[in-house]
Amino acid sequence: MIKRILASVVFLSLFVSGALAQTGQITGKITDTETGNVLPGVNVVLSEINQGAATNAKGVFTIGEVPVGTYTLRASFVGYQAYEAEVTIEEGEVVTHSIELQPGAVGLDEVVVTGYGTQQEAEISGSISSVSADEIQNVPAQNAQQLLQGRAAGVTLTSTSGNPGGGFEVNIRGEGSINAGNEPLYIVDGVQLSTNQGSALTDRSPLNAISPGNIESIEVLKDAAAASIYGAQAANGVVLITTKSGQQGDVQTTIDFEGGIRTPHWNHNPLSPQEWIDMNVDVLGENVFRAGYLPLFGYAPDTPFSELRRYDWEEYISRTGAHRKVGFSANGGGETTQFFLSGNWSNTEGAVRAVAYESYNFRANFTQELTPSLNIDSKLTVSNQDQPGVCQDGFFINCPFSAIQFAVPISYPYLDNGDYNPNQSIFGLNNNPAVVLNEEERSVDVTQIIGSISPTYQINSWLRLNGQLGIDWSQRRDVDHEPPIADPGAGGSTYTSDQTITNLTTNLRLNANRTFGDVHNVSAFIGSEYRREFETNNAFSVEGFGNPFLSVPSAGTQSGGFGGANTEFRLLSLLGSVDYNFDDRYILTLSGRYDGSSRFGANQRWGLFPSAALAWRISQEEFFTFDSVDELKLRLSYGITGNSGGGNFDNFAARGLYNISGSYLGQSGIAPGQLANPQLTWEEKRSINVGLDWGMWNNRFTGTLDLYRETSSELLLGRPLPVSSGYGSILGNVGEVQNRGIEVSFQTVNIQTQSFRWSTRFTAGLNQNEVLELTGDQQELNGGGALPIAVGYSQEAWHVPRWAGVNPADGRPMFYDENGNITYFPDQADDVFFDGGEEDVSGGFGTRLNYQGLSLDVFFQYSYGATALPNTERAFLGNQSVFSSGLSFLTRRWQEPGEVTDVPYVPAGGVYPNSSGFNTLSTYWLYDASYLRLKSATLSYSLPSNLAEKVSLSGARIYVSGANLITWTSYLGLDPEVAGAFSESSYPSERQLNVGIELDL
Amino acid sequence: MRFFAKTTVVTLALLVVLQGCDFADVIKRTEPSTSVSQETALSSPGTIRGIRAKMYDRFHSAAFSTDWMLGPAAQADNTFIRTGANRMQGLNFNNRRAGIGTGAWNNIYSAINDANLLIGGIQEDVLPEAERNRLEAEARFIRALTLHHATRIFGYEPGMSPSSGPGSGFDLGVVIRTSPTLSPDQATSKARAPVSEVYSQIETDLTTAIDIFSSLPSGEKSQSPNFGTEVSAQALMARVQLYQREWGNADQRAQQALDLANSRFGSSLAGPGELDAIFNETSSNPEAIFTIDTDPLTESVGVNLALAAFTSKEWMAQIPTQDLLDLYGPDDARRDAWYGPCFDDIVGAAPGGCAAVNENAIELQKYEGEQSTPYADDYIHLRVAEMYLIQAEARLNTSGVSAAISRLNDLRSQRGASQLDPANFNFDQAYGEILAERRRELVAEGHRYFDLKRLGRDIRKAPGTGASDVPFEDIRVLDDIPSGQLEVNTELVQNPGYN
Repeated sequence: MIKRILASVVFLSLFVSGALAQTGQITGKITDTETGNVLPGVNVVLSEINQGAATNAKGVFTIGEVPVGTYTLRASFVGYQAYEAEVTIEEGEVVTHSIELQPGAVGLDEVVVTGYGTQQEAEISGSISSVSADEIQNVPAQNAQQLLQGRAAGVTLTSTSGNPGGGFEVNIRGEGSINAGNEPLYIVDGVQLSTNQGSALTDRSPLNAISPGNIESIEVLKDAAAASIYGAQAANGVVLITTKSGQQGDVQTTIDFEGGIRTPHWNHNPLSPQEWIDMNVDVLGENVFRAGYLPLFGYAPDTPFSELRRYDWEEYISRTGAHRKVGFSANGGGETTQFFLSGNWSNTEGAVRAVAYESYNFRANFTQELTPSLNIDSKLTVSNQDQPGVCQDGFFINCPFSAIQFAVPISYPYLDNGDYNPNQSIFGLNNNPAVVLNEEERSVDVTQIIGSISPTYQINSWLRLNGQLGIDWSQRRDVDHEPPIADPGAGGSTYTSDQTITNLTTNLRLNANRTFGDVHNVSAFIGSEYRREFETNNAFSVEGFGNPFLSVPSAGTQSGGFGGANTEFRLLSLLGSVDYNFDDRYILTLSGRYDGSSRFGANQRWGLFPSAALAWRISQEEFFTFDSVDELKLRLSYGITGNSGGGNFDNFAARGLYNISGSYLGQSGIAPGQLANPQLTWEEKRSINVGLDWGMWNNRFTGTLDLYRETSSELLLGRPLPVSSGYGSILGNVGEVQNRGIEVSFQTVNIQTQSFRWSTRFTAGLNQNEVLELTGDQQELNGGGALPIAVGYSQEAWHVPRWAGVNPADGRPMFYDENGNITYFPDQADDVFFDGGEEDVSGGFGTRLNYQGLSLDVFFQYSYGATALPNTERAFLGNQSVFSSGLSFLTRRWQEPGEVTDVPYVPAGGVYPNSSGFNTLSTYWLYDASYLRLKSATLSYSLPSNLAEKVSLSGARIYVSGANLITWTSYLGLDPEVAGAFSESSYPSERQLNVGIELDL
Repeated sequence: MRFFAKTTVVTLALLVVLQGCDFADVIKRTEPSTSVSQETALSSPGTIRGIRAKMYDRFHSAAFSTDWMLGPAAQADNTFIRTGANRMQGLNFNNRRAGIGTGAWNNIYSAINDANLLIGGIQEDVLPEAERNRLEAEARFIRALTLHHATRIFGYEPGMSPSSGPGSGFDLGVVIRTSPTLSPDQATSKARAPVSEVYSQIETDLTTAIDIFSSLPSGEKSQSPNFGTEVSAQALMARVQLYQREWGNADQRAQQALDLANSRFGSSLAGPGELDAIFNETSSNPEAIFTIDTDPLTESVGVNLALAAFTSKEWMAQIPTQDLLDLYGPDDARRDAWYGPCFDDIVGAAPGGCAAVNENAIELQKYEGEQSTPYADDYIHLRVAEMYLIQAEARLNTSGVSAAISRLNDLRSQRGASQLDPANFNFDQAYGEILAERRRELVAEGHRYFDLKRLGRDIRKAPGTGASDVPFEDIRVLDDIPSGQLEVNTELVQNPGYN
C-alpha cells in the first residue's frame, strides 16, 4: 500500500514545472460601495498560489513577486460580500486593480476552514457549521465551547457546570456511542487536542487555553463528507478552531479592559423558616420536635420558637463575584513577515464562595516568507489557568448545592463567639457548609502550550507542499487540602495529583489545484500524518497535619496513599481527497483516510474511512431564472467515520493483560485484568446527509437545511462473561445506535440603509436517538436501573414506575403497576419507559441592530424536550425534616382526609409505613427541562473616528454585556442547562454583567 | 536544474515520512505501564509471585473481610443496627436478596481463578520445584477456603436441605472451576455442581495441599500464619468436616491443627490477659493459624467499609445485642477485652442510638484498627479457639456431654470464665452451651449465621430488636445467585424460591 502511494507521488512530482522565474506585482485600493470609505484590514489573496496581503490603513494592498500568470483574486472582509475577479500578471509590470466591496450578510462567498485546508463556502459539498469572529465579538464567554452554544445547528452543548472556566458536554448530531464517548475531536490551528484533560476536583473546559478573542473562526464538521478526512477519530464530528493571523499593513493595536460581576442565577425555593417549623411541629408533634430535634441544632428544648434563628443558607453559599479582564492584541507586518500578538489576563470570582478562575494567556502567531515560494506559519499559545472550586456533581454532603438542600433554616454557620457551629447539622462539625467552604482548598492549576509550525512550499502555480509539526502539551495539578477541622478522620489531608500530556502531531501534504478547459476545476491532496499522545500521572495523599496553617505535603506526618502511571497511543495515517468542480455547477468530493491505531487488536489495527459528496449549484444553471435567488445548492453525502474512544477507555483494551493490583506482605499483586480480543476495533459510523443552502434577495436571506441519518455500529461494549471464569466481561465490537435529525439555520438582513442595519439569525437542530442493538440478544445494558440503555429507546430514556398521585383518603403516594392499577409498592415490573434526558430540539436565535456607532446584539438559546431528574432535591426529601430544608411545594402536602393535592403527607422520620416513599424514583420526579434563556446581550458604542483621533486613538469602543440574564423554564431543579439527565449537586449557570472598553491605538 | 532539485526535495521529503513508516510498525510499539501480557505474567518468577500476592490480596476486599466476618453476626442474633445508622440493615432484617453472596461472588471466583493459575496455568520450570509446589499447595488451600465460603452461602450442607418448603431436596452447591481461564473460549457457561461434589473437591484440595506441604523441604515450610500452610489446611479441614457432621474426622483434624500450630507457630490458647493481643496488630496473635495481614496504608478497605468503621471507630453501625452480652458471665475476660463504651473516635463523641441495641451502650472492640490508620485490621480466618470449639462439638456427638463440656472448660479456663459442671447438661443443653460458647468466643469472626444453618436451625434474631426469626425452611436461608449471572451463564440454576 505504502509503496504504491509512493510511486504515485513520484509520478505526480514529474509534472512539477520549473517556470517560476518571472514575476510581477499587483496593487489596488479597496472601498465601501455605499459610503466610499476606504477599508483597512481587507484580506486579498491570489487563490491559486495562496499569496496575498491585507489592506493598510489607507485601504491599499500590494502583492509583490507574483509569478507571471492568470489568477483568481479574492477579497474578503467581515460584513461584506466577498469579491472575486480574474487578474493577469505580466513580467515586471505593476497591475492596479481597485475594488469596491458590497456590504451584505454573511453569505456563501465566505472562506471556510475545512479539514487540512480552506474552501469557499459555495464550493463546499459537506455539512459544516461556521461561526466567525464577527459573530462572537464581545460575547461574554470564557472559552470557545461556549461560543458554539446555540450558534451551530445540530451541535448540542450542555453546560456541565456553571463555575467559571467550566466545560460543556458537546454532542454533534446526538450521541452515537454508548461507551466510547461522544465528544468531538478538537483541532486548534491543525493541532489535534488531547481529549484526556479532565480534573477530578472541578469542572473545566478542554478549550480554556484558547482566548475567545483570538479566534478567527470555529468550524464544525458535521457529516462524514466533511469529517472523514479525520478517519478513526471523526465519528463524533470535528471542531476546527482557527486563531487570528497577522495581516500585512500598518500595525493595529487594541487594548481592552473589562470589569463585571457574577451573581446567582438559579432556581431554589425552599420552605420559609416559619413553614419549616410549622411542618415539623405538624408532623412530629411539638414535644418530639422540641425534645428530639432542637438539641441537635444546639437549642434547649424549651426555646421559644420566636428565638430560633432564621438562616438563609442559599445566601450564605453565594456572593457577588468580581470579574476583571485586561487584554491586548497587535496585528500587522510587512511583505515578508506578518504577526498577530495577544496577551490576556482575567480573574473571575464565582457567584459561590470559594469559586474563582484566573487565566493568563499569551499568543504569538507569525507568518514568514522565507523565499518567494516558501512560507512558514508559526502559531503558539501559552496559557495558565488557576481554578479554585467546590464539590459538585455527585451525592456528596460537602457540595454547596447539597448543603442548601440539607441545611435546615434554624441552623446557622457560626456561634456568637465566631467559632464554627458544631451543631449545624447531624453530619458533624466537619460538614458544616461554612467549614467546607472556608477551610477546604481545592484547586486545579493547568499550564498548556499549543503550538505549531507549518511550512508551505509552492512548487509551481498549481502544486504545493504543506507540512506541520504541532504540539499540545499540558500539565495539570489538582490539590485538595483539608485542615484537621475539615478532615478529622485523617487529622487533615492534602491530595495532590499531577498529569502531564505530551501530544504531538506531524503531517505532510501534497496539494494540487488545476483548472482544465476553463470548466474542470480539480483540487486534490494526499498526505500522511502521525500522532502520538503520551500521558504521565502521579497522585499522592498526605495525612496528619498537626496545625491548621500549613498545607503542603511536607507538613503532614503520614502517607495517605499514592499512585502513578503512564500511557500512550499512536496513530499513523494516510489521507487524501479530490475535489472536482465542473463549471461551478457540479461538485464532487471524494475523501478518505487510512488509519492505523495502536489501541486496537493485532488483527484490526488498520481501517479505511472513505466518503463521497455531491453538490449541485442549481442557481448556476442556465435554466434557473429566479432573480431573487442568488444561490441555491443541493448537497448529498455518504461516508464512514470511526470512533476510537478518545479518553474513554484504556489505550490497551484489546490486549490480554495482567495488571498491577493490590499487594500482600510487601509483594505487589498481579491480577488477571482482561482477556485479549485481537479483533477489537473502532466504532464505525455510517452517515448519510442531504442538505440545501440558499441565498436570496441579494443574500439578505441565507440559510442551510440538512437532513441526516447516522448509524453507529460495532460499538465498544463489554460482552458479559460468566463471572465464575474469573472475568466479568470482554470488550468487543457489538451494538448499534442510530441518530436521525434535521438541522436548519438562517440569517436575515431585515433592514439595510446607509446608517442602519438590522439582522437576525436562527438555528435549530432536531435529533432522535435510538438504541438498535446491544450485545447479542441483550435488551438492556443496565437492567433494572432508571437509565437502562434499552433496545428500541433513546440512550437516556428513563425506566421508572408511573406516579399516580396522592390518595385523598389517607395522603399516601400512589403509583401505577404494570397493568395500570394503583399500587403502593411499585417494583421493577411496574417500570415504564419514559421520555429521555436528550433534548429533542435545541438551538438559538439572535438579533443585531447597528445604528452608526451603536450596536445591540441579543442572543437567546433554547432547549426543548429533555426530561431531567433533580436527584439532590428528590433524595433529601426522603427525610423532609431533620435532614432537609424542604422545598416550598411541601406546603401543599396532604393534611386531612378528602384533600386533593399532588404532594403526599409527610411522615415522621421520613418513612411511609404503608407505601413506598414520596421520593421513590417515579415519573413524579422527571421534570421537563425545556428552557428558553436570554443567553447574552451586548450593547456597544464605537466612537466616531474624528472624536477618537482627538485623544490620539484610531478608534475606541465601549460596551456593556450580560450573560444568562433571564430564563424561562418549568424545571424544578437549580438550572435546566446544567441538569443533563441526572442532576446531582450540579453547579448552576451564573449571571454575568460586564462593562468594557476597547482602545485602538 | 531547478526542476530536478525540486523533484528531489519533494520525493525525499515524502520518502522520509512514508519510509520512516516501515514504520507501520510504530503503532505496535506501545506498552502499558501498569500491566504485563498474559504470556509474561505466567512465565516469570516475579509476576507469578505477584499472582500469589493478588490471591491473598482478594481478602482485603470488603466482601472478604467486613462481609465475611461481620455479615454472619448481623444476619443472626449477635449484632444489630444502631438507631440512625444504616450499614448492614438489610442483613439485620434478613431482607430478600440481601445476603452476603452478591458481593462475594466476583471475589470468590477471582480468587479461584488466581489459584487455578498457580495450580495449572503458570509455565513449568520457571520457579524452583519446591517453591512451585508450595504455591500449588497454598493455592489449593485458598481454593478450598473460598469454595467452602461460596457453598455455605449458596447451598445447603450435604443432606441438610429442609424437609419442607421450596428448598426441600435442593442439593446444588456452586460452580466448580479447576482450570484457569486463559482465553475467552474458556469462559464458558458452567452448571452448579451438587453440594456433595463441592465438598469432595474441597477435601481433595485440602488433602493434596496437606500432602504437598508436609513433603516440602524444611526451608520451604512457611513459618508464617499469614500464608496457607499445613496448619491452616488441617484447621480448615476440621471446619469442613464439622460442616459435614463428620465428627470423628473433625476432632482429629482439629487436633492435628492444634499440634502443628503449636510446633510451627508456637500458637496455643491465649490466657485471659492475652485476649486483646489476638486482635491487636501491634502485638503478635498468640492463637494464630491463618491470618490475612493488612498494610494500613494501602490495603485497608477504607473509611466507609472497614470492619472498624462498622463496629468501633466511626459509624458504629453494628452494635452487640443485649442478647449476646447477656451470655458472658461476670468474670469472663472476653467481656472486658472485646467490648467497651460506644464512642466515635473520629468525631470524639458518643453517638446516639447504641443504647437501643444494648442497655449500657456498648460497642464491639475486636476490630479497632490499632495500626497507623484507623480503618485497617488483620483478618483472622482460623485460630486456636475455633479448634477447641470444633472438638467440643465433635466430642459431644461422638463421646457425649462430659467430653464436650470438658473441652469447653479447657477453653473457658483460659477466658476467666467459670467452669461448667457436665452434670448440669443433657445433650441438647450441652449443644446449646457449645453454640453459646461459639457466640461468646467467635463473635464477628464469620460463624454465627452459618452455625445455625449447618445444623438446620432457624435463624434466630435477638429479642427486642424488632426483627423476626427466619425459619430454616424460608428461602432466605440461602442467598440468591446474582441475577445478572443467570443471564450470562445459561446453565446456572437459581436458588429455590427466587425468580
